[in-house]
Amino acid sequence: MWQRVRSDKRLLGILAVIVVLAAVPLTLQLSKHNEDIRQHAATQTSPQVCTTDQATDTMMIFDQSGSMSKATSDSDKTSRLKSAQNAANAFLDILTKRTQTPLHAVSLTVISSESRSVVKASLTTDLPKVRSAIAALSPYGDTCIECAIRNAMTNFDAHQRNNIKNVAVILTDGGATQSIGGKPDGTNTGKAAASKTALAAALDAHNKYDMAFYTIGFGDSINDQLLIDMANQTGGQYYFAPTASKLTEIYQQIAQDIGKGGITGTVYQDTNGNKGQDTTEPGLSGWTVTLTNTATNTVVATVTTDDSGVYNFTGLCDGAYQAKVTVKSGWSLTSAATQTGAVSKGSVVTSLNFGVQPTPPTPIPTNTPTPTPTPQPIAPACVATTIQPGTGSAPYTAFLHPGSTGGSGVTTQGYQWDFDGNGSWDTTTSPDAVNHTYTTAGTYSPKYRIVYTVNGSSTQLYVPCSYPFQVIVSQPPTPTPTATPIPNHTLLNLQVFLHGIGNSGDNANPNSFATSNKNPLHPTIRVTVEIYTANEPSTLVISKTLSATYDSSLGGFPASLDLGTDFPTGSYNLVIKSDRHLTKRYPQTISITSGTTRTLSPVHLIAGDVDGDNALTILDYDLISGCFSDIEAPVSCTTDNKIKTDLNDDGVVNQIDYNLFLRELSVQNGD
Amino acid sequence: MPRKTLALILILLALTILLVVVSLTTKQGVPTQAPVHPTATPTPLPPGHTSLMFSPSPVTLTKNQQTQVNVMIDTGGDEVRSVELEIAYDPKVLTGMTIKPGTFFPNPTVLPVGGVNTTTGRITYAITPSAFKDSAKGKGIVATLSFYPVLNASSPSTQISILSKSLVSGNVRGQNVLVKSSGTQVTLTSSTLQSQQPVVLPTVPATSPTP
Repeated sequence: MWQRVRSDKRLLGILAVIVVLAAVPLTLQLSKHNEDIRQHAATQTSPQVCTTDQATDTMMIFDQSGSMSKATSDSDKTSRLKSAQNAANAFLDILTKRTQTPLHAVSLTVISSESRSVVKASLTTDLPKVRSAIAALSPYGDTCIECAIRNAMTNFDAHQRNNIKNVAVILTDGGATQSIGGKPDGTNTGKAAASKTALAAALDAHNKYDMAFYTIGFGDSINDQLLIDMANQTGGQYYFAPTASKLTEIYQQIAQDIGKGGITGTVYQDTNGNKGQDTTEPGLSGWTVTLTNTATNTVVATVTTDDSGVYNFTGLCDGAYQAKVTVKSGWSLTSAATQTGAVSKGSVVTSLNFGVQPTPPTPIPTNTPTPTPTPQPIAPACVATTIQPGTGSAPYTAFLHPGSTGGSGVTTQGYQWDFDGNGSWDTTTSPDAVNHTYTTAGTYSPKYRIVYTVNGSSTQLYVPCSYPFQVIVSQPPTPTPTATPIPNHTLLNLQVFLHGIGNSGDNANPNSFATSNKNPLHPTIRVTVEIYTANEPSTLVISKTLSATYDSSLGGFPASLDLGTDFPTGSYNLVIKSDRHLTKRYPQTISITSGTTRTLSPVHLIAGDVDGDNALTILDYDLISGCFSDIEAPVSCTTDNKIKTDLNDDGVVNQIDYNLFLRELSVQNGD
Repeated sequence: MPRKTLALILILLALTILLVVVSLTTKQGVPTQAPVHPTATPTPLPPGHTSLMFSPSPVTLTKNQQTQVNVMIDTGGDEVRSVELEIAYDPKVLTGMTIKPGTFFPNPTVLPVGGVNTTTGRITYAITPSAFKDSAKGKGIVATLSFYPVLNASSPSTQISILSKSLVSGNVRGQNVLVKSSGTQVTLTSSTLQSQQPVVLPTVPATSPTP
């Protein structure tokens, strides 16, 4: 017995020694493993390093076109719409949990045919309301992405909060097939045209609200390029979701990202060394960019550029950052090696771009005598043309004539044109003047650049020029109405008057319009009408933007709003909005009877909202005073601001505009 | 101790030493990198640097006596062209509220916005240099508030607040550079809370804007 006890004691002792000794290396190994995990997190590309959200106003744009009724995939027979609704709910769930302040507001606009691409939920922090609106969607119609963006913008104008980060999240399962005022066209030509207007709408939203677009392609027939362009050109991000689960992941990722800042840019081959990326200069993939927080001097993350040369850091807290590109062997920088940007209120800093070009081989010195210096070539220069493009109704063919001087030691190849002024060159080299047909009504600011080569070289170089005229294309003339009115259509006839123009006075003198401009330079304006139910809770029924053309006999802008054939009879509240004017709500409830024409009383809009925040403030005053040119040259004024601050639209920002603004100031906020 | 046991312990010791060496050697091979501190919040860098505040602050009111409080600006390097103040106070505690331009802008113009609403206790006031090209920077007095305590005020203290709707334009045209504003605490002395003679309130002539 005692022997056995002694034997057991020995075994226990040996076991204890084994446990203690084995624990030492095991502990060290585990400790090292934990460190590896932390370091792995540190080297991940663009990690979530920020734990706090900034408030956002989010424009959620959701495809409910007919194709969303298709199965999600061959193996998943759930409809695309149902899968997308589930994923969107996951998005809202994350935002809802962060709405203690409340932080996030969301609006919902659907993509469908033009008349059905409407706002389903106004911008609100009541996210369950948005969730209900999503649940009520059913597949219908074509894919007018432009319509959805424009209508969402109109709602945004009326409800956006000041000084808040603005974001758009677009989901679509197809390419754009329709533009505003156009018929659905599924041909390649039609899709290309609709994509162009959709991208233009997104860029307008980006320019107006500093809005980043997060785009999601869902399904097998998406137009990747449109969604990629939207994201890349607005500082957002493009995602492709082949399955429902991936789509949910993406929405959740976006919900994590939108309340935080980002930094994005491009590494490109700066062939001509002009420190800007021209359309012919490609982005370079596989280049390493490192982001450092300048306040803490710590590396935040390292990423590599994608196929387009774009790099993206997301999930950043507010603060100052420095991006640095690692220059590959055989290349040299044409831009600075580091670019700095400040993320503020969760903003996305864009265009921290790096230009590089191949390093030329080092010339081998020779002992040949120094050649006689040849005169340096002089590039051609822009000359302001005096030949005007004219105006007309869509489709309008404008005659665009460039101007240039010849330069010296160079050969002018011709000109490139950006007909709509959107920053994208629409032509290859053309020899001289060109005719271009504008199919859609609008005011266009074309640009051109001179293409030339230095004698003896085949490399094309460019001189960007500003074209001194705008091309104003009005709506095509309305066909003469037939004797028989169209049955079943509900029509609203509006008479919109703008203070300072035609027969409209101002706040101080509403009935005095003797000094108002009777010949506005831009006779066609955009008017947005929002119709809300009169009963509480008031909900948005339809939001529509239409063109109105100045009628000199009326002294205002008449317009007719077609509400379609199925607009329900009832009592409604109407809100009217036009660019650079405060939003106006009709003081009385309007009763509308389905299938009839209702003529509304004239509405006068208050001028001076230059920055489009639906309020008259010193910021508007600041812009007007910067462009004021009655006594001396403007202090500080851009072409765009000059148009915006010319309140009476007579082509000059002067005492009349200034006094009009001061007389309007008694009302500071729109309805 | 039996030999076998001793041998076993020695083998285990050798094994332990080997494992420790391997472990430490492997650790030295991992490239080091600055760790990320997820909880660290970088210093925000706003588009402007301007702040508004009151002086003196806090304020003590004396019975039957008009008190003046300055709205101060510190542009923090910004070039400022105009200021729009949105101020809230309690009209049940403070009365006879007026506002007049300070000395920060030379030859100031007061824009015709709201003014003082003595019913709601709101002041909307916008001020700018007369010349469009002028701007100012540094510290100074934007405007001066003057007021009296209400006779038999119900509360011994109140706040005067600069609301977030206030704006300061500067640097780039149309840009708001205001990043911080601070209100002030107003305290009424005990004698002020008791009976008090009504006072005759001064009026401030309106300033017309001239470009």
